[in-house]
Amino acid sequence: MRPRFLVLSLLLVPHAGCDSSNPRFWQPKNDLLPMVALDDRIAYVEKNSHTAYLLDPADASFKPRFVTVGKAPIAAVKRNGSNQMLVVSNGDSGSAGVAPIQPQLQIIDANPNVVPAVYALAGRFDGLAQSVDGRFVVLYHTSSTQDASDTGLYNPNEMTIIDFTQSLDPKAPLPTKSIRSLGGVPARIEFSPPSVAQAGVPSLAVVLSQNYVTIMDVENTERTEISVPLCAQSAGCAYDPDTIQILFGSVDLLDPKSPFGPTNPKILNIYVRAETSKDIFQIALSIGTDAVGTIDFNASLSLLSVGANPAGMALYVSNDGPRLAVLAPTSQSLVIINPSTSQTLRIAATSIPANVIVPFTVANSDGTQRNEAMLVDTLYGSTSVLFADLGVVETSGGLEIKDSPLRAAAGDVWPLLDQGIAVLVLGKPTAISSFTVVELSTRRIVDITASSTFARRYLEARPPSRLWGVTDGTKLTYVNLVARKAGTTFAPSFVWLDQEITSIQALDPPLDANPTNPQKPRYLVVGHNDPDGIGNLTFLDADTPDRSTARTAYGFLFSNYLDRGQP
Amino acid sequence: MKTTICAAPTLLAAVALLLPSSPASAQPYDWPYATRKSPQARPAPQPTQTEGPVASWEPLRFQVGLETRTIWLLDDAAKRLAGNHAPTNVGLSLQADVLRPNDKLAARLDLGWVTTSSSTFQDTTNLEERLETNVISLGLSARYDLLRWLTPYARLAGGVGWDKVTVGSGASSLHDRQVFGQGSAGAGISLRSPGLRFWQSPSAPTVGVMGQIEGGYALASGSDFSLKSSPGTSTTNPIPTSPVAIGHVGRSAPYLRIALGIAF
Repeated sequence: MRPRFLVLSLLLVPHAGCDSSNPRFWQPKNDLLPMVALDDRIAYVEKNSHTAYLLDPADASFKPRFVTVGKAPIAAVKRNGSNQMLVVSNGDSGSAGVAPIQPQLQIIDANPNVVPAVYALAGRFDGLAQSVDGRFVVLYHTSSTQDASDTGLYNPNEMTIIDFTQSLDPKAPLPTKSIRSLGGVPARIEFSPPSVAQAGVPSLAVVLSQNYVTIMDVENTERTEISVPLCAQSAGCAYDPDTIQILFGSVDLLDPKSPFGPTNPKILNIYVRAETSKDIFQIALSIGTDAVGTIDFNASLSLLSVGANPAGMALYVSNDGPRLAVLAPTSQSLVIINPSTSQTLRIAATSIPANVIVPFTVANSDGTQRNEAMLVDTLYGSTSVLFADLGVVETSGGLEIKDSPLRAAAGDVWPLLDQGIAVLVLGKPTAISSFTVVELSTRRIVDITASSTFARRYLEARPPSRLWGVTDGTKLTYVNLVARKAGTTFAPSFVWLDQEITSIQALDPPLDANPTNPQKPRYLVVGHNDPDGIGNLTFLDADTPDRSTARTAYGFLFSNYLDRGQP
Repeated sequence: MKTTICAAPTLLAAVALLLPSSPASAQPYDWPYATRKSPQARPAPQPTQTEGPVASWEPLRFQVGLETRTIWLLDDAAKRLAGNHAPTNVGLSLQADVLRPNDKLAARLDLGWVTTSSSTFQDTTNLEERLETNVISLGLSARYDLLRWLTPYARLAGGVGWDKVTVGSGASSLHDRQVFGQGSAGAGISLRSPGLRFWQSPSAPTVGVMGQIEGGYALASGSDFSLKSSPGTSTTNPIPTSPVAIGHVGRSAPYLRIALGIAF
């Protein structure tokens, strides 16, 4: 080989490494937790840089606010009832040469003037549940099989209960509570409704594990929890916690005519329905006081017989007290139970195997309320719905048969009881072809059919009660479900966007402290394909969506990119 | 962070092609420190033989060459964008003596163009960042021939450049282009070989190899980069997309310039 070509060859060797391919192609790009919709802005949390980005759609520059969160964030959710985001981070267990980083809970307010609150955690929790009003947050381990390789030993039934009305020490790890294990781990946590606290009973959390529930007083965490086995695992039953339905009854005095005291406790019934059980579990909590006024709990378990596997359960109040209406689709029956006596009052046959019950009240001409229910089959392909006058069912056993035919079998039911309607989704819930709006009080049914698949559906439950969806990939379509103005009912409208739509989310009306500027629009956030996780959203006026006023924020997660993470 | 700068090997390879294929094939010429032979001592050319090249230390007024410019970045954002703290530009330069008041002193004008392209993958985003930089500069240097082959000089230069930043790849990428001004002051030395005249003719040029090495400081205007995009739409009237301000980049930095070329 001639020396010149040898030199040339040697000099060209480095070109073998000069391609533009990613040397870390196997690693994820921007690794974002799901978008969090706060009241008036949206937030993203990026895992690798452990940074939260809060974007105000009203900001024309789309420059997000950056907040550093704890290392290894695993969950970010909106705190109920407030314009704040809760971020749970796992931290780092460290190594011989690296100091460990403690897991933490961080509360980030949408107001940039509020300094984020950080609370150290004693465990690496991966589950978060919160009460409806956002007062209580429970952090827990969702599964015993979670990746706890960097945690070492841990108790899967340990949890941290946070009451935000109490003063919390940001320096010390939040205290933990270990609940009794009956062989399972928490799968879901539900909180008692505000009406329970309003009745003077401490707020409760019901922890659902396989085959048992645990009831905790979240206001007094030192109080021993109550564990209620639903069935013995040795008996071969396996109740899936994800399909269990919980209903809280009203709080009543044992003797309504006597005052609350050591001999006259308050009674709170909690009803538990498991699909593979033929009974409804009634947990009666007796909340009493001792001689010095200390609250004390006692629980008793009763079985309310349905006779078949229950699939839908509703609680209503008749003239004679609370009643439980339970559907059993396999036996095509509606069972009315008096939980006060554990007595089954009536079993009425239904013409369809209904599995969803939507209770509602209708005003009589004399001003009294009548309990009714809509019964829907979403499992077996029935093409009609039933309406039941529950009072008539209880007294006579007769179920009014009003065959309200549907265009197709319902796949899902979205009750909007405060709006007086229910939406029946026809077809598969993931990609519906048509739906039916039922005006419950008049039983008026309106069918709406989409010419093409109505995907990415998003139900705006609060007024103006709109159903949003996507047709043809980029066509944002919406329907008013309730007549606010004459002629606007059920009039589909649409807006063409530029990119394929992957998600739809409506924000709350902005919390504008300046009353002289009440015209800030309420935003609809439309997500688009974003494989690199750089932020790709289009913002529209949610009340009057219009392409001409829409704006796209693309790549906004790169804001101040050069000022972050420099070499 | 990995940076790939692929232009330098290419240019070095081109230089290699210009090199003589072997020492044996090189034409003989006098070495600078050898005793200069008198032209009269040379044997008279034989009419039947081909005339060989003749070496000469006559001034070489023009130079065409390759140029590299390494900058030691001071600004953190610039380092981040370039992917390292000392990116190297490569390019071409043309130089010419415009004034020679005496045998030792000369004023030289140079016109240069350097470019660089680097791509990095950030740890946090794992996205490709690509920076392409081009600079065109006009320089004026004052030279003093200390030795026949060694010439110190001082140089002032000014020019204009443009940066193109691309983040991401494919249709979803974002980009921005910024123009900046630049001025520099530096000093260095110039080295040259004897010139060779390949044929005997009054119009035959004397050709030599000349190189410079120069250090200095470049003052350049900074830029605020705002990434823009056209996220996958074919409509003529797309929904407006706001640019994304990614930060300020400062470019003033010390530099080292190396040039190598053919002079005549």
